[in-house]
Amino acid sequence: MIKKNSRKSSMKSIGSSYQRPHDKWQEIVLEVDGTDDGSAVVSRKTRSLRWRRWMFTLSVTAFTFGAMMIGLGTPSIRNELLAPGDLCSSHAQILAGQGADRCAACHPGGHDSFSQWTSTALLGPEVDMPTQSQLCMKCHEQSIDSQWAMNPHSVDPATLSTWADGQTVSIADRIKGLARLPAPTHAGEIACSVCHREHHGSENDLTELTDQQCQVCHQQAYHSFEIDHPPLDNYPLKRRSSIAFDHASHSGKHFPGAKQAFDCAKCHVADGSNSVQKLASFEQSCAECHQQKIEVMSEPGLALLALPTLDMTAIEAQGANVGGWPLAATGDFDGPLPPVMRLLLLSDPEAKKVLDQKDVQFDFSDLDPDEAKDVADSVTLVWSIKRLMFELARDGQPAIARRIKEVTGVQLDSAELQGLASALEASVFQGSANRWLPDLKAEVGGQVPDYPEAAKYKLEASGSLLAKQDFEWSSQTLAALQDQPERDGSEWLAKNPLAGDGVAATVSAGAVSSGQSGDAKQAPVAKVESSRAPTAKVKANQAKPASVWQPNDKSAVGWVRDDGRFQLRYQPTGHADGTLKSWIDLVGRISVEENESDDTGLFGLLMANEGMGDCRRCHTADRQGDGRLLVNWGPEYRDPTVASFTRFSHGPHLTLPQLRDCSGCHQMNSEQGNQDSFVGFDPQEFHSNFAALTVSDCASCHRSGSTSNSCTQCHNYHVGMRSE
Amino acid sequence: MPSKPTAYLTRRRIRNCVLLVLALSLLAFVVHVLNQSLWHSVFLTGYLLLGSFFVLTLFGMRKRLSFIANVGTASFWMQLHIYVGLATFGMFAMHVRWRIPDGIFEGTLTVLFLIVAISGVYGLLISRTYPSKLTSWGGEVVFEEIPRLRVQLAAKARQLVLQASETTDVLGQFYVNRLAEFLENPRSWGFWVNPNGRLKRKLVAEIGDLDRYLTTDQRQLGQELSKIVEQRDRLDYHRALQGRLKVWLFVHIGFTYSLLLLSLVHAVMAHAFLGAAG
Repeated sequence: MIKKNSRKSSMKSIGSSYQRPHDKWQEIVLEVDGTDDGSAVVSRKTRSLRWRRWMFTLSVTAFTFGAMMIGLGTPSIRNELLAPGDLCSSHAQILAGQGADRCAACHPGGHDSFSQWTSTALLGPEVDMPTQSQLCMKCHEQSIDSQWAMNPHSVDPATLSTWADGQTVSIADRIKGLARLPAPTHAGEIACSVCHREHHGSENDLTELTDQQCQVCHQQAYHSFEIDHPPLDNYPLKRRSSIAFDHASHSGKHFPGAKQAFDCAKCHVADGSNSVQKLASFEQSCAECHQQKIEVMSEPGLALLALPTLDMTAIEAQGANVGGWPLAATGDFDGPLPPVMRLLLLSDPEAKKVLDQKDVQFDFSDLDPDEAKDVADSVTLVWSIKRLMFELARDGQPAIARRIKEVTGVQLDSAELQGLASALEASVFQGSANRWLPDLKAEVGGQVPDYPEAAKYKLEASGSLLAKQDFEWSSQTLAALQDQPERDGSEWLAKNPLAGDGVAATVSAGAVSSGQSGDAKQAPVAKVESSRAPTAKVKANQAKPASVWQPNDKSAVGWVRDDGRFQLRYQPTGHADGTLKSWIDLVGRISVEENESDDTGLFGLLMANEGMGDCRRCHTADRQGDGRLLVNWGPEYRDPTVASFTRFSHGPHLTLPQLRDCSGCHQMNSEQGNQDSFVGFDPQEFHSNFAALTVSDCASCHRSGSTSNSCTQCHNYHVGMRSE
Repeated sequence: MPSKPTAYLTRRRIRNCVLLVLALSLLAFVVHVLNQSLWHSVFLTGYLLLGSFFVLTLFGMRKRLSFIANVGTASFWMQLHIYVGLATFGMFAMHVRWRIPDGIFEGTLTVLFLIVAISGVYGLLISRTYPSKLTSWGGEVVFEEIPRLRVQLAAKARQLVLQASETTDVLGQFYVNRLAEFLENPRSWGFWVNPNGRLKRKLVAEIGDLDRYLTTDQRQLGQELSKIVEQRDRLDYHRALQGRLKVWLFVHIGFTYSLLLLSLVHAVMAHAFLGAAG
């Protein structure tokens, strides 16, 4: 406002007054009179500078507050506003389409209001609020075991403490440790964000960890890899290889003998990532020399059922009764108890009582016909065998699963059962029973209860389960058998159309001719009268196989009924047969109490069994932490997608001229054989053909000022982490 | 004999600078240890920054806050404000880990901090250098009096020109053509940005050039006009420099409360988004 002052008033307002900085109003003189004191005649009052400053401050603050409230209150822009920086590229890609949920994917308070944030900041998070690490694990549970994810090295503390056993910390290290703080743990757990710091840009390496950060927990101070890294502790020979292979004998004897060059690259080839030198396939590296031998070794096959030869005279002399029995399977006590059959018989309490007293390698030839107990044991086992055969014929594959569960507690799923008994249908057992023991149902049918659990094994793959009601033991069956023309040899059941035909009505009929009992061949029906049991007539089968099994029949693979040897067995397809592997895996899985020796338990018996192709000659078996045996079918003894403490990539090393030859690092001792290293079940007990690496071997390149020598160059933090 | 330290290296200033360096070094060491121990050092530096902001804000509010009104002298508060303010540069650098924050909120916070902090340093520098410059330019002039003095000078110049017009119109024409614009109007923006005496010297020289057309008495009036030009220029110089001494506070204080507000929100969010431990 402009005012014209009188001379008097202007003197009063300007000439005689002093304008103070804190005055709210300030008078701006526009015109003065002509006197020396310059009294104002025209002036204007305006706000003081201080007042204007406060107004400016208030305006800026109010604007900031308003803009902030708008930003925080608008979900569509809140995330972008608050994001403290770009995410790493992998997280950014995953969260790109999440919109308003983006923050909440990783931050428990992402959806909260500002008042809730304030409450969390002042009072702490609500009890039921998940931790940020728990949200991390929602996505990463596939790669890291959630149970131990936040524990040091993602392993359970008990295991970690065993790894740390024996490590001592020097006084010097303890003093150095004073310059560090204990790791930020909460109830012994380390949050993901302790190491993985996000929002530092798309190029930020979330997994980067400095050596000093490793030493937050590792109190033993190391200066550098080349100076004071602990010895490599027999690296990389911490355990034997999965496939038994004697480099020394092959390089020194076998290859020169075959006039072949022993070239590492023939068997060891780079994988897709060029980080691992994988073992080439069997066909590429071994088959040329070993294929034929494996085929010969596997010819005897794996017997599921085998009728022993019984000394009927001894049994009769003891007044015992075994019911009907093939005439061709009579004579002296003889015949092994196949490992698989032994396993199935153990579910029968009476058989178990007998077998528990016998050695695992029990053979019927071990029985003394003059010993009443041995004879009684044979009778017990025979009836148990009959009950087994009846149950198999009635229930088919489910009977195998039931008995395995009964004995081992292992509940097989359908796929596992298929692996063990692929294409092995109830009709196969029925055919065997009809041919070998036609009175089986009458003899033991009433002793074998129904097992309702069998019904749940509906094998989707084959649909081959034969319902119990379809199983008929009829005179027509026998008649049909007798009416069929004779066929030579055993029946190849897996390929035989009869296998799917239910009852053995179309199985070739013929007289049973026992290859073991020459007398019986001529006696189609042999009756052994029992004085104690008039009804228990010992009959020879009326149906006889035309001839014995021909071992040189190369086309016969799969399940085979050998009427000559009264065997139902599996004829392997050669190397890497799936059914054999399934049985070996199963027996290994249940062999938790076997001795460390290779040949005393069921597993050893199975592997020593003729017809197993001598698998164990090359495939080692490792005792697992829970006691079971794991057979190493492949060359990998550990999953390459699962991180261990140490990692190594061959790729970059093989680019160096001095390391292209494997012997640059792997020094072989041609005098040191190692075949005895693969027999036992402890993979750590072995000696290698090669010398272990030393720190100095690696430190010639991995040293300060040269190639990286940081901890994380060779060590993983998350042990057991699966690559995603 | 060692030379005596200059006025810039006073004992107090040396002591305070050493303390500042020591404090920042200690903080850097602690932050290093925390980082190497996998702790979040940002919470330490963040809380130190926030606390520093409050201490710095108290400097301007201490007279209004009874509980600190009588604590320490004005000089103590000034020194505290200066050195804590300088320390915030180091704290901030450690807090953001020597990188430029790229989030919108954190970027805004950074800009606000830099505005307040840099304006503070600017204010410190000019408040230490301008007074001596102003004194050397003609003593003390009260900033609020400058408008009146300026109008008064213009009126005085008009009177002189009227007085001269009774005998010659040379000075009158010169006043109309050259001096009126200078004396009756504010200076250009260029002068406020870079105050200098070029125009003054030019005008004084031009007045001197008029002497050949003036009598001895009229030359006396011309010299008085020259003095008025010099006085006006001095007033303008005072106004420019004193204006800066006042305007930097507009920026420094104007953005302080926004910085405090957003810093508090930032602290709340840092805790809230960290979630439960673990």
